[in-house]
Amino acid sequence: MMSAFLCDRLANGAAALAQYGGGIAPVTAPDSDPFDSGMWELHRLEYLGDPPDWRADPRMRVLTPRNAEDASHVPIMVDATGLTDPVTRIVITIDYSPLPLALIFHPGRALPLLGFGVKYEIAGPIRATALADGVPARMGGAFIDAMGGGCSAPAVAHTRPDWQQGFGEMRGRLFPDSGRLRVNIRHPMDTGLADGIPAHHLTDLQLLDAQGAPIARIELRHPVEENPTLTFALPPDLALGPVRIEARDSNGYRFSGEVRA
Amino acid sequence: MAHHYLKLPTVSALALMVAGGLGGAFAKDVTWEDILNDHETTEDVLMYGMGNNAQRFSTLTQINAETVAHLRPAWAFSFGDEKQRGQETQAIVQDGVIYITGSYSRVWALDAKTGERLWKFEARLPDDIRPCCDVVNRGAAIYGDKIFFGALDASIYALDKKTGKVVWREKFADHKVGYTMTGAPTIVKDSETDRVMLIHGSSGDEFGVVGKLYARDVETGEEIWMRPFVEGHKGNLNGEESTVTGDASAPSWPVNDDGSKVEAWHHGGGAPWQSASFDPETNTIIVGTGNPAPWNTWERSQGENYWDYDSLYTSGQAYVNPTDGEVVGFYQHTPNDAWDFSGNNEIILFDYTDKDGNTHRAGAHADRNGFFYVTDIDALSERGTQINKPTALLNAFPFVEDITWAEGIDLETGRPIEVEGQRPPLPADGETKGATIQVTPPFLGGKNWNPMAYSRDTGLFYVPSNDWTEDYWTENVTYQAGAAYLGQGFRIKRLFDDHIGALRAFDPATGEKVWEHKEEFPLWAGTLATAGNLVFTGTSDGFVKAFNSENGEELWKFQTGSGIVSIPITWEMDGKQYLGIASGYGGAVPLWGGDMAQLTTQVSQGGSFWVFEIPDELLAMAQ
Repeated sequence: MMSAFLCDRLANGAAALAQYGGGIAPVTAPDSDPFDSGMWELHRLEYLGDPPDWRADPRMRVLTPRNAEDASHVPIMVDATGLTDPVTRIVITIDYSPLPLALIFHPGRALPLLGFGVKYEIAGPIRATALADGVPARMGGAFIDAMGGGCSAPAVAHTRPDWQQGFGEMRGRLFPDSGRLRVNIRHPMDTGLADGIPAHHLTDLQLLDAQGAPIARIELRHPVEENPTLTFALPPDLALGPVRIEARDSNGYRFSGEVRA
Repeated sequence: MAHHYLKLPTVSALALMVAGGLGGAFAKDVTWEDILNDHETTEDVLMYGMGNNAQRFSTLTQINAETVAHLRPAWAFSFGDEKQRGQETQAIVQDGVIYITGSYSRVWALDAKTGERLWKFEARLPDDIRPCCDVVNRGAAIYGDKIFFGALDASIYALDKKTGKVVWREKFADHKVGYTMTGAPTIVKDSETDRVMLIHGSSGDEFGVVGKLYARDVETGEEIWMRPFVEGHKGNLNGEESTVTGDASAPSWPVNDDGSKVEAWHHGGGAPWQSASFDPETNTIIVGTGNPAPWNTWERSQGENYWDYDSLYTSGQAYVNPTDGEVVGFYQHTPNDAWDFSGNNEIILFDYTDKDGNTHRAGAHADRNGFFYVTDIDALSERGTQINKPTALLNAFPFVEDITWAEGIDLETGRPIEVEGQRPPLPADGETKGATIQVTPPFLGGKNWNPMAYSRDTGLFYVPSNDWTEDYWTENVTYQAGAAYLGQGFRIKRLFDDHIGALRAFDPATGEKVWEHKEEFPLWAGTLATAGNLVFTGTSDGFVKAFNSENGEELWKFQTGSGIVSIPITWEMDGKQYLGIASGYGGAVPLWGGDMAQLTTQVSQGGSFWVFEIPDELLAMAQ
């Protein structure tokens, strides 16, 4: 296995990751779907722009639990730092979700690594595909077993009389030694599938440096968890901070915050 | 690399077709000239009021007194969801697309030909919104490539008219203390700055808000100015505090013993919750202002003296300069309003010829207080004069039966001739409630928000009025944020056995009632007049109806399945005239109507938009 961000930071490195096995797609022939799922063909067409060339790539690491213990918060870690060719964006799709597109990550000046959580409606693969012009699409994935219901259940926020209480509050932390940036936003991330509750989710989140220049950007969609926590990896110069976070949702609400090392 | 999956050419072909279709249907942006001509053009409906003059008159004649018998549904669209109540909206039609709002802050774009849904937007509302009078929305505004509408959590949205995606959202006040928005915003262009602005108000007088009118940049949503309608409160201009409204010492509001303003002044109401008209000739926004808060007249009087304390600028019509948001004129329908009459109802701009043959540019307004007012808009728009202009009145006459609170409006002074004993008295010592008196009309009004129409052909106004009465008594009141701030109790009652609603045609010069059509249920739908010698409206028991505009004969009706409390529109597309109206019962009557419950509980809830046409073969036959 080649070196990658996660392996470098785990005790025992790649071997430990291999032993865990959780989620990482079994290696098969590069142009056949390791999950043998009927959705992959369609999702390539609909969400990946029908790339002329693609492969299942073991260097695209998608770390997940084997089971979605909490179907409304399934933690995912995508690590494309092991790829040697360029990555412009990473598209996360969930094969059997009623809303398959979870997010599109544009790493920009950040490392191509992202931690986030999703809702899981039904057992099936989650995939991360790295895209860039002139190189094949590189797909990694994981199969997650789930009892279901993550997308069609109302957000927990709705058990409170006023979901706007604390709505949009951000918490974040920047770890300058590792370059890790963690951001949490209070947001119901309603899918629109729960009875009587319209869709209401974050649509865009951007990281900006001290000069206001963009670092990285995410387009977020319905399957991302309620009150999402996002983990980025920044190169050493940007890890010194400060980093500004700006976000927007489908109802036109805007949020912003700043995190210092 | 081999694509060894099943090609689905039908899917992609379909996707392409839809994309192509959308590109065509939404292609045209709306210009200021389009809006300025809205009252003349027949192929679109761009403004609430069907034009900046709010006349609700169409020159279309294909559907007319002869052919209307053949009117049939072309299609109907269900708003869906479980939110089946209170559809008080007026649709917009532009470039083959209908934009319609629904209860609970929802908007749809529909293909005007087929009724096919193109997109839907639904605002995510907090649970603690406080609309007094149902979760209604009265319509959208359109300009450029955007649709604008207000939401119940006191916010206003701009949506991309092609996609329904949010372009901007501005939260303008705290919904928890009672601010909300139900009215349709309107578009004006300030001729001083050439700036196109979105004009909107808020609701919330029943919770003691300070009513405010806002002007916003259509592209960004940024506030250009804000004008409060309680005398002595400060406005905003370009992001900074601007001038005080009227006299800074607010002499129309009483003071405490220590000289400070009474509690009521701090929460004085006057909210402009209906839609503004615009007079391009004088560059003036014209909008009705809401009732003063609280309802209890003694909270706004100095001791027993109510006559020197008019509670400016509430329960009247305000004339506002779009350049800076200054109030340039005001006519008050109900000075020191003790009955929640409000002054919000629409002001229709029209060319008025009085009894002596003199012509005026005038405003027409049928107030909740039961009187019809014709005001001089040139006098009221005049800059550099006293704001309050009670004598800018050209005519006034009653439009409902048995008004008790005033004998009439004095045409010399412009003030009502009040009947003694009609202000609900204070509680006697040791009592919590005052003595009950009977007042006509009740607070729901001789006419409420549902707009009247003016026919440029007949010169008549078609007023959807109600004959009813109420018991009224005062209660002690203290302001508490987010709680009702009335100081008054009420019970609405019948006045006649055979009807409550009455659609009436009035001659504005003589006050003559030319005809009337009685309805068993309260009338809560707006009206539309056409050059086809027709007047359209809807009834609370579910019918959309057409009347002969000259004599009131009922010529056609159709049952829509739920009560109608919305506003009809008409337009023309590919040589054919259409009629559109939303169905879905709700609004203030089922909530606050007292004895009306015997009627209103018979009506099913609903939510749909109906479009009618005369089928080609019947049209050929009729012609």
